[in-house]
Amino acid sequence: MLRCAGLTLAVPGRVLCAGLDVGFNSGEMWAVLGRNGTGKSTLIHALAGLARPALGRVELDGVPLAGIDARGRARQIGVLLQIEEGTYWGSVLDYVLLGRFPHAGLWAGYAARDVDEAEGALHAVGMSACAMQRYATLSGGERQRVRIAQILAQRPGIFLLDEPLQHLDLAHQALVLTLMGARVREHDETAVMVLHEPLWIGRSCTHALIFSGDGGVDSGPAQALLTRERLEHAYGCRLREVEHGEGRCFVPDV
Amino acid sequence: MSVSREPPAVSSRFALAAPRARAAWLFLVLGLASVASLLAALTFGSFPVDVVHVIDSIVFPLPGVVHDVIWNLRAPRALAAFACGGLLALAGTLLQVLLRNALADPYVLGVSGGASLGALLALTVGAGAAAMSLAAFAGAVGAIVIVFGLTYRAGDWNVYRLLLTGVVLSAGLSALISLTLVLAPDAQLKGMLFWLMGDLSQSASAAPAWLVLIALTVLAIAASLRLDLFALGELKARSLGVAVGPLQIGVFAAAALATVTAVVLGGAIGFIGLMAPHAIRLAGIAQHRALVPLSVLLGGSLLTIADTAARTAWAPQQLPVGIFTALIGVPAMLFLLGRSR
Repeated sequence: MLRCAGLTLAVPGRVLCAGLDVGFNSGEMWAVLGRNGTGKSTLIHALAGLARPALGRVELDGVPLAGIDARGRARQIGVLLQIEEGTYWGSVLDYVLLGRFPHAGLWAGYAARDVDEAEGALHAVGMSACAMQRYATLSGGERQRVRIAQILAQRPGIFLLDEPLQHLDLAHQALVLTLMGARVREHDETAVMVLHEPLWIGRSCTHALIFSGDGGVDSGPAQALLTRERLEHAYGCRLREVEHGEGRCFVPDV
Repeated sequence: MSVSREPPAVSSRFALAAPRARAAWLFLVLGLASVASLLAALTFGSFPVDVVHVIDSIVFPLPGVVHDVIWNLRAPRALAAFACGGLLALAGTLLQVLLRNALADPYVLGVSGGASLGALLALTVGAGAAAMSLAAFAGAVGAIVIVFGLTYRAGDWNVYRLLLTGVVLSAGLSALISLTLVLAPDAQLKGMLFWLMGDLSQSASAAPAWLVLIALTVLAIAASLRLDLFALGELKARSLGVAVGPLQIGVFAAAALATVTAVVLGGAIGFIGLMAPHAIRLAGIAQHRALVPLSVLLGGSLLTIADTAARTAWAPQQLPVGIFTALIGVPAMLFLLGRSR
């Protein structure tokens, strides 16, 4: 279980949230919501141990993150970054294989098992056909699917996904959430996802964490938390509630 | 939710086999090229020697004129050229991944500027070869210390600042070098220009350079999986379990050591450090495990061939080797660039 205790996040000149206590348990799928610049990515980075919080701590199964070695942490926590710098010169398969680094022998390199994992992950996101293509030649949506394949190949028990649906068409948004839902339910893993897509939040997530924009954070089971008033306040925008076959979702009322 | 799925992957082993076969093929080609370049360097020159005699002299070393020419005159220079080229290629590979910049070469950190200024000042006062090497070494180390000191403060490290600091310092050093050239006595000018364009004729013993080359290449291969991740950016590398800070300092130190060793040995030889890693990448090799040793082999053999050309093409007049690295490398590189999609 990943939990943060007394977590205070800040960027220069601004406190994003103060004293946050949340536990992300196995079998839970979390949506992290809020306006741009309210601290969603900063929270993901702090939960992943990539950024030191201003105050408080993050614990993995009761052990402070700072006390776990980097490769050991990467075997348990996978992060999908929103923005990836740098150019990758290799093939799509090579790129996905990088997700196996936490499991690879440092001298022996990647083994047949790692290649199998990578190919299985590429197959899961429907990108097998492009395995030998150069990563740099892919479209934005294809790259996003390959990046998701990389984190699947990494096989962490906890997925921290910063905007996993960006650049994806509707079918592949559904595919990615189905894959994540399967991992969470069938393997009793944890997913924490920064989402903006109103269509999916209520349907896929069991829990939500909402940055209200004024430094406050609400968290809890999604059903109770996702009310029109709370979301209108969080997004600073009037919303309309839309009923569909499996529940309701919110769209901007403009 | 129904999502169309493609049929199961059948590629399995082919997928990894293709790049591995390509890497093995390149190792074979560049290994043979390295041997051939060294043999050529021992064979060609103003004293005519048959390649058969060269091989004979390697297998059964018997004293004689041929033996002296090969072992005392040509071999030290050929070995210096190969080590120098290998070191430049290694430094270029490391800096391109450290700075995540395709245009990085061994000299972006001001190393060549510092070394050149040191060597030129030594030449101005009429110092000998040993003192000049020492001055070049001092200049290069001085430049590295300045760049590192300005960039790395209290654990804060930013590769863009590193790159910019190096470029700015290089510009300043370049101005000082021009000033030295203008004010230097005419008699020294030609020696200075040679040094600036790269010259292996004054090379000291290549043994330390070989030690540095082999040690750093082994270390770089040991770190190759981490280097691959590093290309994706600092945050990403950390998220996958790389201790980025120590790795950056290690890569910086290795690149600096390789560059200083190469520059002291052969002056500011351009092109190889920038282009050798790119040529290997254009041949389809992205993983550092293969990229590092292949670049070293390519850089070494390219510089050995260029140096052989530099001392034989206009014999008895010797030309700066930097001219030939570019004359051989530029068409080859343009061909590779034109060929790749």
